Parts: sequence; C-alpha cells; structure tokens
Amino acid sequence: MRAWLDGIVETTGLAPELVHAAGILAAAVMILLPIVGLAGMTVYLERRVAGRMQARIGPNRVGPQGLFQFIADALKLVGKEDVIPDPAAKVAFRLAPLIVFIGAFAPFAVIPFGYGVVAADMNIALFVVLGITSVEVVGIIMAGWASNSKWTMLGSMREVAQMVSYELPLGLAALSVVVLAGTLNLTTIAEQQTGGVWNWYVFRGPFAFVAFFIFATATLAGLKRAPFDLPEAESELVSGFHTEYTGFRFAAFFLGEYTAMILFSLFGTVLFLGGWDPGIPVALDAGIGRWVGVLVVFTKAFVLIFIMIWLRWSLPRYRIDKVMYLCYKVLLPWSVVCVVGAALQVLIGHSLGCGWLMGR
Amino acid sequence: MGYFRAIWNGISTAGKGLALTWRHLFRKTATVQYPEEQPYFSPYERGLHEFEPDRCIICELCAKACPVDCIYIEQVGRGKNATLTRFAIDYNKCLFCALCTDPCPVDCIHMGQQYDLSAFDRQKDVIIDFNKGEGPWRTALTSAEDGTGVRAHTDE
Repeated sequence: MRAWLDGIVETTGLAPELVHAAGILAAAVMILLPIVGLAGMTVYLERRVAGRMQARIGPNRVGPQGLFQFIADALKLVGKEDVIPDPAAKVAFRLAPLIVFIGAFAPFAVIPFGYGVVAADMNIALFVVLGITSVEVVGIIMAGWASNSKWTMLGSMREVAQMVSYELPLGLAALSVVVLAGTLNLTTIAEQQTGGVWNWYVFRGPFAFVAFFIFATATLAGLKRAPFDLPEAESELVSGFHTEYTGFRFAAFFLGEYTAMILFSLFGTVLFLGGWDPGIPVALDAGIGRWVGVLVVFTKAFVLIFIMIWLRWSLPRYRIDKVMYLCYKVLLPWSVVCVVGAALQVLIGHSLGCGWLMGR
Repeated sequence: MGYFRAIWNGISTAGKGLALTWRHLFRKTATVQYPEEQPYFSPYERGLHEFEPDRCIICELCAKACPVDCIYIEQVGRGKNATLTRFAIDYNKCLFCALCTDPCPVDCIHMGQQYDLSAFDRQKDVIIDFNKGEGPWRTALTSAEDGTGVRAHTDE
C-alpha cells in the first residue's frame, strides 16, 4: 500500500502528504463500508438462526428472504428522534457511542484479510487489536455514567468489570500463539500457518488447542454476548448501558457490537485457524489467489460468528459471581498454563530442530 | 463439586444444550405465514355463520335459542306466503356458541370456517344481513390480494 502510494507520488508529482492522506481515507472507506454491510448481514444471520432454533422463521418479508430487514431497521433508527435525557451529562453522553464505534472499527486497519490485503501491516498488529478494543470499555462507562440512570450505571459497571477481567485470559491465550509464532505481526502469524490444516495454530500441540477455546470463551465475554450478556440482562437492567439511547446513537452502539463480533472472529481466524489457508497445501499469496484467500478468511470468520450465535441461543445467562469465578479461577490459570506450555513446546522444538513445534 | 468436575460439568452441559439447538435448527417451523397460508381448522370450527335463505322456513327457532338475542328476523306475509326480508346477525353480540344451529328444522343455518373478522364501522358493518346474499365480510387474504391492505374490511 505504502509503496504503491509512493509510486503515485513519483509519477504524478503531487504533494506526498496529500496522496498519503487520500490513501488513508480510501483505505478507511474500503474497509468501513463492507464491514458495515457485513455487520448488517450478521444481524440478519443472527435473527434467522435464532428463529430456526426456536421453531419460527425470523425476518422474511423485506427483500428476498428478508435480506434487507437490517436496512429497514437502520433507516427506522436513523429516522427516530434523538433524545438526550435532561439530567444526562451532555458531552459524555454524545461522545460515548463514538468511542465505542471507533473502538470496534479502528482495529480493522491492522487485520490481514488476505496475504497483503491489509491497510496497515504493523509489526505490533496483535497488540494494536487488543489495545484499541479495550478503549470500548471507556465508551461504555461513559455511556453508563452520563445517562444518569441506575440501570445504565449498573449495566456499565458490570460490563466494565467483565470486560477488564476477561481481557486477561484473552490476552494470555493470544500470547500463547505469539510465543509459538515469535512475532506480533498478524500477517506473519497467518503466513506461518499456510500449507495445510496441520499447520494451523489450533492443531499445533495441546496448549494452543486449549488456548483457542479459552480465547473463544473470553471473546464471548468481552463482546458481552450470551451467556455473558450480564450488562444487558433484560430481566434485571432493561437493556444495560444503552437504555437511554435512541435513534442514531443507539444504532452506533448496536453496529459497534456486531462489528466487534466480526473483528474478533477475524482475529481468531488469523491467530488460530490459519488465516487465508484453505486447509490444503495451496499458495494463496499472489494474483487472484489473494482474493480467494480473503474469501477463505471471511468464511472461517463467519463459521466462528455462527458458533457465537449458536451459543447465544443455547445457553442461559450466567450469574455475575459465576462469570468472575469462570474468569479468575478457570480461564486465567489455564491460559497461564497454555503460555508456559507453549514456551516449553518451543524449547523442545528448538532442541529437536522441529519447526512444526516452534511455529515456523 | 470439585474444581475439575465443575469444569467438566460446565463443558458437557454446554455441549448438551448446543446439541439440542442444533437439532432444532433443522426442524419444521411452527410459524404459519398467515395471509398467504391459512391455518388448519377442524370441520367443527365455529366461525362466521353460513345461512341458506332459500331453505329457511322463518320459524324463528334460532332467534329464540340465541342466548344473547343477536339474530334479527323480519318477514312479509303469513304462513305459506311468508317471505324473509331480513335475517341479520349482530356480531357485536354473537358469542359463536352454535346454539342457533341445533334447533333449526331444515338445517339452514350452520357455523362456517371464516374467522378473520374485522371492520371499520360498528353499526353498519358488524350487523350482517345474510338475506342479501353472501356475508359482506372479507378475509385478510382477499383484501391483501386486491391491494386494499392486509386489514380486512367490508364491501359497500
């Protein structure tokens, strides 16, 4: 991307700052628009799958098979009155949905959708993803506090406790892959997994395998999806931190939620499920194969999203103390075991000279 | 419950729940797509009345049997020369008990299958004169087909 932009600067003689700014803008739009569309598709998928699981049909009226339902819903939300409660803290109230939205969207810049199909190929990409997504917490506590309502306050308190706690096992589970891979660059991590199913990090030894499930569980909790949807527990808290939000601001929260779902599915795909590797030894790193690779990544991500939806409509909600128990007494110790185990595995791989064990 | 046992319990019961919903994913749905698809009713369903004015002998037994007095019968002439001028049922009152169908000596009134009833005017539309021919009620389906909206309403 950068080299290509430099090439444009050389051939046309435009100001480099201008060309780079335009390039950044173009990349942002190119990522933002399809992801918003995919988030809408995820909402649709969720509603259809939920319907089937409850012996009903789900939305099937708007467009073919109800495919445009989410567009209709979005238009309805945009058309609604934008209510800001009188006792609310106005600035924080307005800022909160933006922060959540940005926290969910910004990490897409470093996610490799395919070989070289990445807006910013950073050597600390994994760190950036984990770091920026935790900004969401700030937006949520702002929303909860600024709304000046006890439901939102309790909801955001729970949410923050949960998200901050689950970031530990999430980070440690990701770290066990980093230990194996020896890099934080997501493109390199995905590249190391090409060449067949046996090269995917889930299947490289027991530690990464367990780490994947810890990662999935922690992701579920971090995305506040059932069975960890305490912050929005309808039966107790109306709808948690976004109770007081209407119209477009609510839409931003909603979209941010589903976007984060896609983000973490892509992240899990790149970390554990081989990125753009289709499972057979085929090189997808040049020409048209690169775009086939993008398709493979999204297929895997949508399988993960389907599993999230499936879990949501299968399991009842946890109690808050059980959520904390699960985090600190189950997931956290086992993720530490995974990191240490992965380190040992790398050591053994080094002494045996076996690249498969080390992740190369 | 011990620590490891609790973990195993959590995983295995989650698996059971997932298996259940997975089976449901491929089951037939219970939804009836209403205006296009009509739900099944028993032949004994007590819907809107069906009335055959040609067979009616104007004995008024149905009106006498009615517990809520919702059948209005008007006639011209006496005895064999009598002609029916009005046979109206007030659906504001009717409770669909089917007691009017039992005493009829010629079986000219019986309960039909139509159930999706709604109208805009209480006085004009809900009291139906069956002597004028067919009942003026229309189903949601017919009104959806000719573009007058899903909500059922009456003819002129």
